[in-house]
Amino acid sequence: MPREKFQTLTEQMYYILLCLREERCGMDIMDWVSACTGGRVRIGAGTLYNLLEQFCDAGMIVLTRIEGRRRSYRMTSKGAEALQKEYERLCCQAADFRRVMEEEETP
Amino acid sequence: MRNHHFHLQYFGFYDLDGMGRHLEKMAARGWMLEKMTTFGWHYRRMEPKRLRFTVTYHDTFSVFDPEQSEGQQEYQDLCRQSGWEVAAANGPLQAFYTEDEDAPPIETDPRLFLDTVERLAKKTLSPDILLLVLSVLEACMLTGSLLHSPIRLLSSTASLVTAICWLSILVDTSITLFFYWQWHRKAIIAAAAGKFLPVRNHRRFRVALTLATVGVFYVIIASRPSGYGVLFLGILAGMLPVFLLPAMVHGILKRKGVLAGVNKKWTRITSFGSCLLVMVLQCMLVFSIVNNPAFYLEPEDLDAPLTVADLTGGDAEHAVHQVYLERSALLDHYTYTVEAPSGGDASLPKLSYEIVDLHVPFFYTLCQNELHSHEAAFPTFYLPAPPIADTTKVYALYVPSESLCRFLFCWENWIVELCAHWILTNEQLETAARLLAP
Repeated sequence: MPREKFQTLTEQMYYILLCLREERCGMDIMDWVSACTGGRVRIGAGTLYNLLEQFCDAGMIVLTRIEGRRRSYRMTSKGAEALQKEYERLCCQAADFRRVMEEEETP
Repeated sequence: MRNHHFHLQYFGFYDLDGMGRHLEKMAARGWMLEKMTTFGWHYRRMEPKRLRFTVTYHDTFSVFDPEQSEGQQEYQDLCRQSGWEVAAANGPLQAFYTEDEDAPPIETDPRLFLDTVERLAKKTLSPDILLLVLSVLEACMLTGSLLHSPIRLLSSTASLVTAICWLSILVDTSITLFFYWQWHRKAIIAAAAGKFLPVRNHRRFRVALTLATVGVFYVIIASRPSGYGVLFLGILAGMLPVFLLPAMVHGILKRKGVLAGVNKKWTRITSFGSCLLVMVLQCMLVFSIVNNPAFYLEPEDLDAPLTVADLTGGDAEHAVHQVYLERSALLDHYTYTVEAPSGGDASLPKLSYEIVDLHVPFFYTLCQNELHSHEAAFPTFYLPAPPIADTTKVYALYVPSESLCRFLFCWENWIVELCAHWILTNEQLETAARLLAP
């Protein structure tokens, strides 16, 4: 059965949504994500464009401004909900990891 | 030294990586991509450089847009920001290049890339699937013809050319679909692990298949009189409007800034109309040639190896002779009949024979079986008879109620079916076998 789109977020999707808690244009998103992750996560221009389009279609972000060829976006409540869900899922994974590692360490 | 270069491109629709690597090789040799069209890619001369190329596909950018859409401009701006410049674009297909070895890739999400390829596959592979189905049906019909009436099929150049065309289409579409299915299956697994899967391109295979098909066409056509070659080239040339006319209409409407929807509609109408027109013109051409008396050989142009006079010693001058000769690279099929004209002397003996001259021994048994089964349905059947003259085998047809004398003479790569409407004496049989021998 195919996975429902955005049921879980990839790393790139996660950081794009995180970045769009504030209004930003496409060009700034790539720089912000790279700076936030210390260069660990780099989003390609083509991938960014596709994801912004898909997020817009899914109602998770909204186009807020067009200045010439610069388009700015911001996350919606639906996007915030998906981001929160993903954060909680990652926290659960991290907690499970810590618990299992502590169990192995305690004799 | 020329400053422009053009060539066809044989890449699979999903081999964007392969396209990029090819452009890098061209840049290293001093050729920069200038324009991408339906028929191929145009290059211009530049100083040889080491460049990185990426070819991308985005289906919301249409080849019918009169100018770049805002979305496409935004896409290119984002690429430019990360160090990639546009080399050329043709609707959804775009080629970017950079001199920066550290520029981040344009596509960084394998699953997203796979989604794009899957959408592209739905558009691109539908005609291939249709062609595969049609070519399988055609292969079944050809196999049936080969088993039941091999002589007619193998002696007809037109049938052989048609068979080769469909066989090539069957092989090409099967390989294309198989390779895509195989790559897609592995790409899903790779994408789940966050990796891109490179494409093993079968470009060389497709080029080899095209050259092999053209080579076989040449061998088949070359065995016929030179007029056939001209006819064949004429038919091929006549198909060019099917491709050129829609491309011209599309180009003209795009330059005039016509809306994408209008451009698409008129391009499709032109495409359909030109197919129809070419089909009608080619049917008219073939029909006019086939009905031209000059296309057929007159009986006196062929020396009949055996006549009624050779067997009866009588005068068959007023008889009606019919000669039919069909030749191909695989076999020659010769049919000769003589009978009285309508209202003429009914006592004139009737004689007919078919000669099958095989150039490829592989089909000997099939052809022999076809002649063997001619009118050999119960209660008539062929019985082995003693060899006559230097034949390898002889069969006599047993017909219970008619005075019909029908024999099958077999030599190596040469089969003759003789039918006389009187009972032949042994002497007459010997004479017939001697005169009909290869």
